[in-house]
Amino acid sequence: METNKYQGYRDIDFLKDEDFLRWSLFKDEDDNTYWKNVMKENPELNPSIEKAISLYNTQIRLNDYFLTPDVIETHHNIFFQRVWQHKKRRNLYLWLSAAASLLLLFTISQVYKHTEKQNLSLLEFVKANPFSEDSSSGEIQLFVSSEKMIKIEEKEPSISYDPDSIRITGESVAEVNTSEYSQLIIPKGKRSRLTLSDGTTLHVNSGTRVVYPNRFTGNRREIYVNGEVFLDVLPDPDKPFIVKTNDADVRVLGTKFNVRAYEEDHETQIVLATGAVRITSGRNRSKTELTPSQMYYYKDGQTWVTKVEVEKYISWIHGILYAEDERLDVLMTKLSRYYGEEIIYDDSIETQRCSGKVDLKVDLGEVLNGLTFSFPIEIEHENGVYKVRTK
Amino acid sequence: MFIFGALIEDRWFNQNVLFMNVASGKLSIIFAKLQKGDEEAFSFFYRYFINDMYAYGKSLGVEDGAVMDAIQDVFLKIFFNKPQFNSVAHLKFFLLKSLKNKLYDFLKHKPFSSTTDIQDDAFNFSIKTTILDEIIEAEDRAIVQEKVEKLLSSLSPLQKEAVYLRYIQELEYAQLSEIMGKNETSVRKLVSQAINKIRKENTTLPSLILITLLFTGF
Repeated sequence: METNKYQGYRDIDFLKDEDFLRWSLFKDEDDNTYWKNVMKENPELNPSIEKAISLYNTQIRLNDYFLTPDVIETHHNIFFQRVWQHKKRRNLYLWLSAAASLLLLFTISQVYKHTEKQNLSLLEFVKANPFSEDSSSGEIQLFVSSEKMIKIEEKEPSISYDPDSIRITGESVAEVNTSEYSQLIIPKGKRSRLTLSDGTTLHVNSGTRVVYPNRFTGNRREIYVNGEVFLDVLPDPDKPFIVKTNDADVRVLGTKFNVRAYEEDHETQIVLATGAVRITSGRNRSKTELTPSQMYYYKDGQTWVTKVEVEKYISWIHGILYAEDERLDVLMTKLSRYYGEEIIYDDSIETQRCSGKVDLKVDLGEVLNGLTFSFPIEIEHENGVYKVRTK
Repeated sequence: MFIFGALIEDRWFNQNVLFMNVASGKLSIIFAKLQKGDEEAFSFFYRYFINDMYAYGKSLGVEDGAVMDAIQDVFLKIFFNKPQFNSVAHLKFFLLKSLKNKLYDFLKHKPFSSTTDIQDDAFNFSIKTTILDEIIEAEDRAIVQEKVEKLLSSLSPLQKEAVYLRYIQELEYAQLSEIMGKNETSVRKLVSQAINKIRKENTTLPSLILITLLFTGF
């Protein structure tokens, strides 16, 4: 019998045998059978074979990369330092907003004596007036001052800050209190057009919050955005326009650009249509300048600038959503936000990618059903929630 | 921390293969604490899995600095986002998959990635063989090393990665499929192709098997 080739083999000889090595590596069924039989037919070889198995397991290492315990310890400590720094920064914001609220109280009592000066900076006001994200869609809310809030029922109203009053779709609704900040809150499923006091127009997308002064005083025009807006900024060389988001500041002179900075997405995306912008971001306040058709993307401290087809990124203002090799789960998030309806999906759809365009004027149910023709998914609609399941 | 310390020491002496020297009972207890957000449990798993992540990162051909940065980024994300895991094995799989994605992001400077994005030649996966000098003598070590390397050299980088993840990191095929960004049939094929390729190098075995089967009636 051929198995006699192993006659007189010591453990090291088995270790040098290719068939033995292959068996040790893969434990394949065929090899298992073979070696079981070898051991059965040649019991005197068993001690050697068993020793060889033990040698393989203890002496042979594949991809034996490792860190020594002290390196691991150092690395572990650095990690937790970063964690504490991150936590401290979050706590600092909370502290700032508490301090800013006190400042606001103090300021109001002084206002009756002094003239219309905005005592709080824009960001202090933003932090002093946090708005908790409402996951269900509701009415659009316009805070024209700290006391007055106007609820807007329209799905896509036009709001304008004219010299004499604030108008919503042509109707005058309030006087412009020049010393105050306004907040526009657009829930999911709604959109709005906003014209600021300087003539700059914004298209505001679903799930967005915009904070801005009723009148731009001083030597700059600053607004705060959490969500997505497309801006057409009126040129004013004496007063640069600055859009502030959580992670970046965008500075422009006269420009059309799209800012996408939803807080829950933890990323910032800015696309320039015409003109020029300068973006400042990150801990080290690094600056990036964009030229038309460029996109700036910021996430987790890293920045990318790429060339894009601008129309695809601003098509939402015309009610069209483009997907360019987009993960299906990301598309679902965008649709859910735009339509203001909840979509639940299996995690596995994130491996699917899609390209194409969606007509947002069409009912969401129809849009989702359309997707079933291209992807292995099933759609259910229960209790107002859409469920996407992979087949 | 004393208990954790003792467990870590056991773990240290078995780097290459994840032997559950930590009694699975104790591991489950620590895992349950992790799910509740216990920071000490998080610390434990950081130390427990860092070598597996480091080894995988190096095997993908990425240099030390980038691998270490990526490991920290992955753990930071988990610490603050607190995703839920089904089991310790699931946690390990999640760490390895996230690490690969992070390394790919560094490599390509791309903002998004899912493992289906990663092209087959993005990384150059390699398998390096080490033979300890504790027991086997130098001459024999050289021969064994040569033979193992020869066996593995016939495999493509993808096959090597599949084999590494399956046999050394001990992942399930479903998990392999996700990490490699291919469907389950494809990854099973990768592994079986690898075995067959190695088998082809030897001509002795097939006929032996046939005879063995005939005589023993398996």
